[in-house]
Amino acid sequence: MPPAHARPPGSEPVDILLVDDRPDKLLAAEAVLEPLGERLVRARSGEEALRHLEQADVAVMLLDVHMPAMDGFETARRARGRERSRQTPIIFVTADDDDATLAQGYALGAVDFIRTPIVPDVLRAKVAVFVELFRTRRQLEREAERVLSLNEELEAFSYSVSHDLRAPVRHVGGFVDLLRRRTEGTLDETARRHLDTIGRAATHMGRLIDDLLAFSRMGRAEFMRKRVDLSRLVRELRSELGPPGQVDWQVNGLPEVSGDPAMLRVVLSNLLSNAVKYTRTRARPRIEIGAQPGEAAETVIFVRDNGVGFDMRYADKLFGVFQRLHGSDEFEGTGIGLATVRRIVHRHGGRTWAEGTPDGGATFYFSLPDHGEG
Amino acid sequence: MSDLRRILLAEDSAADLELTLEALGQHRLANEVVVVRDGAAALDYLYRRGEHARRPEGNPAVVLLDLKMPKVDGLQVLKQVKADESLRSIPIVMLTSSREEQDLVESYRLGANAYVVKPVDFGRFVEAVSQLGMFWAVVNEPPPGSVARE
Repeated sequence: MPPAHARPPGSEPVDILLVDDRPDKLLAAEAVLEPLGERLVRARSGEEALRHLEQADVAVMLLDVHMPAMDGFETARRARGRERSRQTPIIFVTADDDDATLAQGYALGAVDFIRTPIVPDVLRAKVAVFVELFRTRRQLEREAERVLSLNEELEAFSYSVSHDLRAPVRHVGGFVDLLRRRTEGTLDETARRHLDTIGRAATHMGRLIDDLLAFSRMGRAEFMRKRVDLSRLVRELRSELGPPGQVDWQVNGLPEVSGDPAMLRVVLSNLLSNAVKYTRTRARPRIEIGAQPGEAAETVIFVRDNGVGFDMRYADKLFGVFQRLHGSDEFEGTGIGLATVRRIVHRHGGRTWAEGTPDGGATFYFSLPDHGEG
Repeated sequence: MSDLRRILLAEDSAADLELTLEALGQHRLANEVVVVRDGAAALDYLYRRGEHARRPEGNPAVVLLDLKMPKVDGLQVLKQVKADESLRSIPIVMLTSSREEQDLVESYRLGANAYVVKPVDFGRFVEAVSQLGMFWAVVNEPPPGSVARE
């Protein structure tokens, strides 16, 4: 039968430090802990234990209280005072279990006591708990390190994208324009159309790069929580969208919410310009923005239009990067706007969804969790 | 246009150089442009050393400095110019492909006078560059010690 607390297959053994001045007791502890499959490190004195703690991370230290020269309590005190062993769990081994001894031990940061004579199963079980904790913590630390370095990589990546990808796009657009001027009056219509196509493609590529960078930035940018007056934000965005034209705007009962003002501006800006874009072909474009009750402790905002709508079968695709439900000849766009919206709303802890029917308009919703007075 | 002043343009990309000169040329500013192709050459010009040892005295009215260049990049040139008593009054305009927050912050921290992102759209690029040229080489009154043509 395999031991109850065996080392997970494939994992590195971790150090368990056994500190006792008596070799027979060390041997006994080793025999008990051997089945754990970890590395057992012996120290015959407090000094020797401290030397090892300087050089290696230890999952748990089994520390005899009564030792000549430096006793267990003094050893613990010094271990606590050092950076590397500040957090090392200590189990004291002692025959005295009077309250004063226990109190002193716990004050020095002991996590547990083991009474002699040792009960093998109890000792093994206690040590196994700390070994598992140590292993889990180390795994988390490694994971955190990996995420950190991935983030740095991403940062460097988007920096080069924004520098190095933009330049050639600018060159294509620029030289097409120079070519157009230089050949004015000498090219036939087809050739001129080709030049226009190249120029438009370069402009579109430039927009794609900008949108992708904005999308990536929204995932990394620092989050600043403030009170945001949504009706004021919508008012500002509407004036940025240009003259009201024929759109019949219905803006009602927008609340103040708690969130990042710059990010929420991006959300509403995307939703509003989408609504304007997809109602463009309507004789009487109508866009309604409002709030409605959601689940407990959240606010739901919606943007409803009477535009071209979409087929609910593709509703999932709407919020994906580069996903478009309309041809770019029909409606321009990069397919990144709604992905950015979703990313921002998720960072706020909210949800996004949409309803629509082909040719029957669309409604886009997002929720924001209430955040007290935030 | 009687009072054109000299512009130092530091740009490593041949394509960008041509586009920039084209844009300046549309406003007849191109004759007054001295071109260097990296940051080291820009410093040589400003310090009148190396291949620019024999150039006439006087500072350019403005330096248009590409941010990313081989050898010595734009930020390093900027740093050195603004740290030098005899050069620090020369207006420096950073030209770059992108509006990266870290570059923007660093440029102004080092004392840049302006920071311009080259627009992807060529029409807007021409407009931006010629406005820059017009402002710094014609409209703006440069610090004493700047020269007109060579």
